Amino acid sequence: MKTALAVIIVCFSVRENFPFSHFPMYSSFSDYSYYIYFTDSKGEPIPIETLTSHKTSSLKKIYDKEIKKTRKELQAKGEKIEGFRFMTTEQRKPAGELVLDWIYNNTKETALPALNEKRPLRVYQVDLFTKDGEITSIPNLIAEAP
Amino acid sequence: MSFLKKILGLFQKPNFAPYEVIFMRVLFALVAAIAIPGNLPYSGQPYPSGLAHFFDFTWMANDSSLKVLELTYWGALGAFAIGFFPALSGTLAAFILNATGALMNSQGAAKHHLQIIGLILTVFAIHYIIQAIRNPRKMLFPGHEPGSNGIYYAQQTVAAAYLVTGFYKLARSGLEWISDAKYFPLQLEKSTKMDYYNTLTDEAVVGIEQTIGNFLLEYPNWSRLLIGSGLLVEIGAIFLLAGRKWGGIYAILLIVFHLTISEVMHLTFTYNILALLIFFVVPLLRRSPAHRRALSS
Repeated sequence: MKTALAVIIVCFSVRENFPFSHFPMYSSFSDYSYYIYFTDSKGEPIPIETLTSHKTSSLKKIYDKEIKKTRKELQAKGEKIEGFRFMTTEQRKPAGELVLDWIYNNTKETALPALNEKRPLRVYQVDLFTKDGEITSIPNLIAEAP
Repeated sequence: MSFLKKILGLFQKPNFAPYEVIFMRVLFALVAAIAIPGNLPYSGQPYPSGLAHFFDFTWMANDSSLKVLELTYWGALGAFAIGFFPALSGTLAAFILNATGALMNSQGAAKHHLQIIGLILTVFAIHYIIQAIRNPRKMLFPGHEPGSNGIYYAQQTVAAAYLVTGFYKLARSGLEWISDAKYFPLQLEKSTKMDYYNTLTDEAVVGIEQTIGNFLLEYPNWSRLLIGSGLLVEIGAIFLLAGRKWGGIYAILLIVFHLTISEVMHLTFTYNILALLIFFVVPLLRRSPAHRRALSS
């Protein structure tokens, strides 16, 4: 049992450091969630994984990390932001631009021609709420990058 | 009291016959061999993870470099599978897989699908390094005797990964995690839609998840029941270590749990399922007279 205990302690101590993790996925539920998706310049959704090999879920984590960073920076400047969901589209825009840049910079050269055909890409964020026993989705254009 | 004693008595270090050890190790090496990512198109490590704190792995973005790395990794795994110099071969394999995983996870998005293989390889490597220090004369071929084969440590690693998952949920949200499970349909909607936008080809499936989501919205206690059972299954993973029989049965329960989540939420648990099959379900097959003879000899 000593090994199990040691792995548990190390996972909790070093958290997200591959191969260790404290496995935080789905560790809390809230009445708000969101997802993102990508489109071409006309607003037509594009199959991002097919084109770039990057999954929407991974790209959302990158976007999420940047949003949290922006939120902290804004709070440090004295702006009051109660929670992530209350950030404006303008405040989320840098994170959107960063994730689009990240896609351009981290896609294999062989996949770039097909991706370039779709440029400039756009990223949309869809906010999800429960209201009157139903799920409400509110899409917002966050950023477009050439 | 005697019932408790009986339960505690189940948690003994298992005894594996050499042929079982070799079989499990070869199977694990095969699974680890396919786990190495064939494509790492990352130009930076903006949020270093694991070994990326100490090394720059962006050279792996180059296809030919990755190919050389892959061949070295497969060679190391081959040596590890036959039990040749496992302190070195296991460490090399663990280092390479953990390096690729570190680069992948240094982008600001943690991916967890390879974690279990990286963890097991790391624990194997540490085990064999300790063995080699304790008994340097048997460093090249330490053998497969009980106590020197590392399988029990791999089993503990798998159990620990599930326990961490369950404990973290309790530590972060406590029992609110279960009461807030009424919001689970939002997660369902999110994961289904993101899966759809990956390839734009799952439109037919999206409908089924919406039906399940609507049902759970209407009957939130079903969400609580489902999510609460999931937490119990994770915390109960200690029973993976309750001997061959109960460990194997519990592993099957976890596999069913994973397959259910995969079906509903489009998440994949390939390597977790394979690790459970190799280290817990395979030992269930041992009840033959030939096996007993092999064990007693």
